Amino acid sequence: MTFRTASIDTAIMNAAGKTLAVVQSKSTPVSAYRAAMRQLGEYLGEALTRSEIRAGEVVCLGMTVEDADFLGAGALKSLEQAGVKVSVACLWNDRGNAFDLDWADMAPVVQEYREPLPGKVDHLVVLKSVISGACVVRSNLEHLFDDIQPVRVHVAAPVMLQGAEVRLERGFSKELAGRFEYWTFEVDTVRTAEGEIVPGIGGEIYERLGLGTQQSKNAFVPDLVKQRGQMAA
Amino acid sequence: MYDANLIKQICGDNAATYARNKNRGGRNNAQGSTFENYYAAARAAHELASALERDDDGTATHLESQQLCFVDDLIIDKPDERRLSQLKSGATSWTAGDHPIADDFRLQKQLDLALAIAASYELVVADADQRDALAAARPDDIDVDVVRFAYAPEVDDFLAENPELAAAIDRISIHDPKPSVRKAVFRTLVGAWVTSPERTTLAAFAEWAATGPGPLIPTLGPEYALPTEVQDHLAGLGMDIEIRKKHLCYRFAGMLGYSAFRAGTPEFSEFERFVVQQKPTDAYVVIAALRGA
Repeated sequence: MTFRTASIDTAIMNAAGKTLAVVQSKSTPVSAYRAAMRQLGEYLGEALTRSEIRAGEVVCLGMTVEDADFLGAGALKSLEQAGVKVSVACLWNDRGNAFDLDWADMAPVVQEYREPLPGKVDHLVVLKSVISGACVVRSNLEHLFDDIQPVRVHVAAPVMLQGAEVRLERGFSKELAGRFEYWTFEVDTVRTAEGEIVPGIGGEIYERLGLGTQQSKNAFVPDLVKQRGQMAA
Repeated sequence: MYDANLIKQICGDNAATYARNKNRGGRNNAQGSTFENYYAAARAAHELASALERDDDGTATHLESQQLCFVDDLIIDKPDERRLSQLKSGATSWTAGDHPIADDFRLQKQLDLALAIAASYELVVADADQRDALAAARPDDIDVDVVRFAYAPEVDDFLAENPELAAAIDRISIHDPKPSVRKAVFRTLVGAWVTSPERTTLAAFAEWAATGPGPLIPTLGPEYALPTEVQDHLAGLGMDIEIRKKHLCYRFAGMLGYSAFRAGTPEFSEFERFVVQQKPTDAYVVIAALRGA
């Protein structure tokens, strides 16, 4: 496991910090919040392409449905502008504490949008707006590892809760978890009783993005999926 | 099936007291990854797979544990077979302790014979050498199979050790068989097991397990036939669809998904009415409806 924060260009870190302040402000309206998330995605994509991902390399870019049109679209833009060959994987998770058991926290993938991949995948980049319990990111990594064996594995999120990487790596082999590379702009230490990371990303992502509840986001098909799916068809 | 008075009459006062004390344990649901819970969930997976293949609705099969008797870690009671399992994850012998396992099996046999219950018995251990040693040392007067069930707390390791279980999970799975799906299905079965009543039918267990995240676990009963009108309309939109264990699986423009609700439920009937009456022209609208919009 490696934290790549030190590899991120100072200018990007500074700009990302200012954009994070926008998402962390409770008064930021939905449209500005969406734009800021898209911008944070661009910064993450730039951070990756400036140091570790080269033009011509193949990247599988994994993202959740709620992030697709915002954080995902931004990262995709930066990666494609850098000449990277990107294959998008957008995943819909059914997050649930199965049967009210603490140890049975699960987020199986119930719907997905996948683009074809060549035989060799140089990088898997899994995006998430914020990583705290890491249940969704773990499910998505497991799901994507079913089909691809990337040379490198990057986990990218504007904000992570301290210790999230430990929770994420639980259940993966030491060899595999040892290869995870983390990209983040901020590591927070406070999680409220309601599960909110403070300052985090300014609250519940679905509501801040105007997508309704966690339940209703699974009945939503992002524009990014529609556009790329229809182009491919 | 068993009650304290019958046990007292058939096996004596001391045995009845012992059975009552033994019965006070309850299931361990504080953590799922125990030998006992994994074994029960694995047996449930096999029973579900078998029931699905035989179009058995599961109402005549019972899954039991912690019953008032002497061999009570797991009892699977089917119309044609009743099997009682005692599980030992650590070192064990037939004769050690105040209540040796051999005596548990003797008392259980005595009880079942008196009640005219036909049953078979097994002692389940995690280690192959231990199985062989116990089989070799089995007292002549007890008819008990000694079975090895490979155990590892991490689900990936556990499934790798039990390929026949992985195959059973594939047979019950609504999703395409893949490692992450097997893991999620198994964890759901364990969660459903530890929160199920101590006596339940296979049908009720499947219904309960199906309420977990997903869809991951199918309910039992005959497969659903999608009305031709619905099928034709969705196909006309370019959707590749199939009913998989009562869930609608769809593919469209790079997407693959599963209906959030199963066929035969009010939600699914509402979806069918929506397709027939509204005749949506956008596949994404259909997909959103299948996910509960």
